[in-house]
Amino acid sequence: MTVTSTDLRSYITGTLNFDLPGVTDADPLFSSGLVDSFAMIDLIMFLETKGGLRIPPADITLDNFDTLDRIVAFMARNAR
Amino acid sequence: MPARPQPEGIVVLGCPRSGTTLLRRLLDAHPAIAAPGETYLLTAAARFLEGETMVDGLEVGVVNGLGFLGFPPDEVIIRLRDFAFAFRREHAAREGKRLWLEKTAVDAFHLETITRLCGDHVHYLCVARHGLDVVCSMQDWVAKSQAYPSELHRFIRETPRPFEAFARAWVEATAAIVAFAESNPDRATLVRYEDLVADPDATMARVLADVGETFDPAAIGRALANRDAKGFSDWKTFASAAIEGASIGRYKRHLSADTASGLAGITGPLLEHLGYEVPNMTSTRDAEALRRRYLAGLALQGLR
Repeated sequence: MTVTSTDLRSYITGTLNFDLPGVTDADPLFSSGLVDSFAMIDLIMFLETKGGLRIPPADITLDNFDTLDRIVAFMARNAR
Repeated sequence: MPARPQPEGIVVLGCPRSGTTLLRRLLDAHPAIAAPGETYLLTAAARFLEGETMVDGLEVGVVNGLGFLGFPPDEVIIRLRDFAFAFRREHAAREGKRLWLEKTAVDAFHLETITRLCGDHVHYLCVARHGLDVVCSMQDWVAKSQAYPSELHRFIRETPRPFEAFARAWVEATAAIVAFAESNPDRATLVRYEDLVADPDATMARVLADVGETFDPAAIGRALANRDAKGFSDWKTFASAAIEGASIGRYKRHLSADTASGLAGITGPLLEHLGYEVPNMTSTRDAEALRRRYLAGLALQGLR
């Protein structure tokens, strides 16, 4: 299953309680410190459940997970 | 039934990191209330009175020890009360104020002894705050002071997980003061930190009415402008010149969903009793999920 930017924003703001005011889909989340590692772990677990896949630690990179755009693209590439 | 004596003082009780220092500062600005920093008077008096129970049930301590010399427990308590209260009476008189207020962070862990010592001679203000916000703040407190207060030692001994120990400490201290306030409405006022922050005027008016004083809205501004700590105090409260609600619900940002869920199992019933939000207790803590979370955390550390 693919994941949309709206899905991610809903989870990050609604479940993880992080505000994303003015944050675009291209803005860095983790490297900027906007979202901390605890929340990133929860987000990755959410993506595994929603996408029905296992994300190997080697795939947990800034290229794949630092922005909403990149996360959406990663999930699309790995959709089952 | 004898008439209740007019309270000469106020005792603020609450689990550490519940907003008791903010309440103390606000009340210190009142022209009738002398509320300086923490004196440890009642903490020390409570420790003086508290004995150790031997295996046969005999309490070994100063009360029974002096009892063997012919001093009944009530007399020991009256003498100690006069000794402790005398310092605060003298200080309040020097400040030209009618009432003294005593607030020390760990007093809530000595509730039974302190209420036995102070009896009806004081009015009690019992402060509650959301338990998981307290847990986060206790972590900051311990990190800042690089030590656990002695009242927390037994909780730390019971579990190697500090958040869980803090949560258990919050439940014990807060449940006791809430029960006391609810069963003694004539001499105790329950104050929720969140209500104080959301509506300081209404909350302070209610608190002051309960201690026989009137509320002056200008006093809040005076209190926040006064940076004179007058002794031991919470370093955090002086960082702000306004009453802010930024720390309300901080646990949602500072604790992982799994940690909050685990702590909800400890704090849930009391949170619910106090009308607080209880975190979702759905946990993903099966062995495989824990392993995957750990590996994801390791991978994220490598990105820093």
